[in-house]
Amino acid sequence: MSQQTSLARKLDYSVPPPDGDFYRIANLLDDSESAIVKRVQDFMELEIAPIIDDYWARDKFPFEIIPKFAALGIGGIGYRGYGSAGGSMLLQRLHRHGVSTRRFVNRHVLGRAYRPCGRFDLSLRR
Amino acid sequence: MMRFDKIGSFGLTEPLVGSAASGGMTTTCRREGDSWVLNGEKKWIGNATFADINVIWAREETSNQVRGFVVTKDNPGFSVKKIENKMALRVVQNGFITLKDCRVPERDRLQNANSFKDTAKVLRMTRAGVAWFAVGCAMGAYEHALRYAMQRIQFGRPIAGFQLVQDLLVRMLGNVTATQCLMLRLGQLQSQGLMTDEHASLAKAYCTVKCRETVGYARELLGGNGILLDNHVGRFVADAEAIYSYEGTREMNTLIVGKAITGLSAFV
Repeated sequence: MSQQTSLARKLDYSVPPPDGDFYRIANLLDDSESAIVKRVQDFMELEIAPIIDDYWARDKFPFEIIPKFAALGIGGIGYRGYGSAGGSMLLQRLHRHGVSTRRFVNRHVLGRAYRPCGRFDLSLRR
Repeated sequence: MMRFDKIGSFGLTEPLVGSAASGGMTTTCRREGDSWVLNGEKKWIGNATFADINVIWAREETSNQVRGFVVTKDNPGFSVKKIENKMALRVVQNGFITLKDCRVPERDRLQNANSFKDTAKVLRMTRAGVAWFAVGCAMGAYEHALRYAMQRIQFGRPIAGFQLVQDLLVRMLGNVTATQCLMLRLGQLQSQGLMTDEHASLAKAYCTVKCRETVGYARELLGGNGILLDNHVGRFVADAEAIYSYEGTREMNTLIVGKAITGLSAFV
């Protein structure tokens, strides 16, 4: 029995899951927006989190993730039209596991198109 | 580019010109018939080492106005080398770009970019984005720290139950929640077309300051284990330094807001 398990049983200590969204900002999103955010969050946890420390330490870029990023359908973060996903909540989710991979997407998005009217949009109900 | 079939980069910053880009850009462009000729250097350009398309900003020699150009990686006048030995954002491949008589057709000039005011419209957007980065980074650091605190046993119990540890956690959570709510309102302003340069600058400056503080608390909570990359927060600390400074330093964004609220420019 691990020290933690033994201690947990002794103290009857149930561990609440860590959640930084204390004021439930994510609840402001509608179902379709929440689905996108969840898709991104799952991707970050399953695909990025396991590899990012290693690539960071080696000063290398994981090029194999590019087609996986493409499959997320978030290439248009911050833009309307062109089938973009919109949504600045996505930016927050992309950074929960660190800044580096999101920076790749950010630089790519900036170079994608000069759209001075591009808007980050939480898509709140109006 | 939406499908990531082509990768892009954004080339504004130069080796000798960062904060002063609006008036001191050294990369130049001049019109020759149906083409433009670009000369100069750009530094810190993310993705540039492998990007298919590079948006390059240059000062027109005759008018002194800043214009934007799409420069492809196979342009004979374009070359790039990777910037090595960074301590932050190490996954990001930043390039040092050299433009030598780089010839770009008129059709690849950004037609709506006719001065730095147009460039600034992009920066307004990106600064809002970086502020979101800071919120997410801080949130991730907080969650790592909380998870660690609940697992780490000292004196026979989880350190999450010690007062000074809870103090650190709640400071972190306060920073995360406050900046998240700030960004919520900024998002509303942006949606309504009301977000100004100073709105974005305040968010960028404030959220990156709080992020830098929060990741430091997380590292502190982990103690010695906080410097091991395996425990993640050390990487967050290093990366927070970059997001604190890039996309407009805290100082420059402060002066943008300062001018807006006082009417007085304090830039130089």
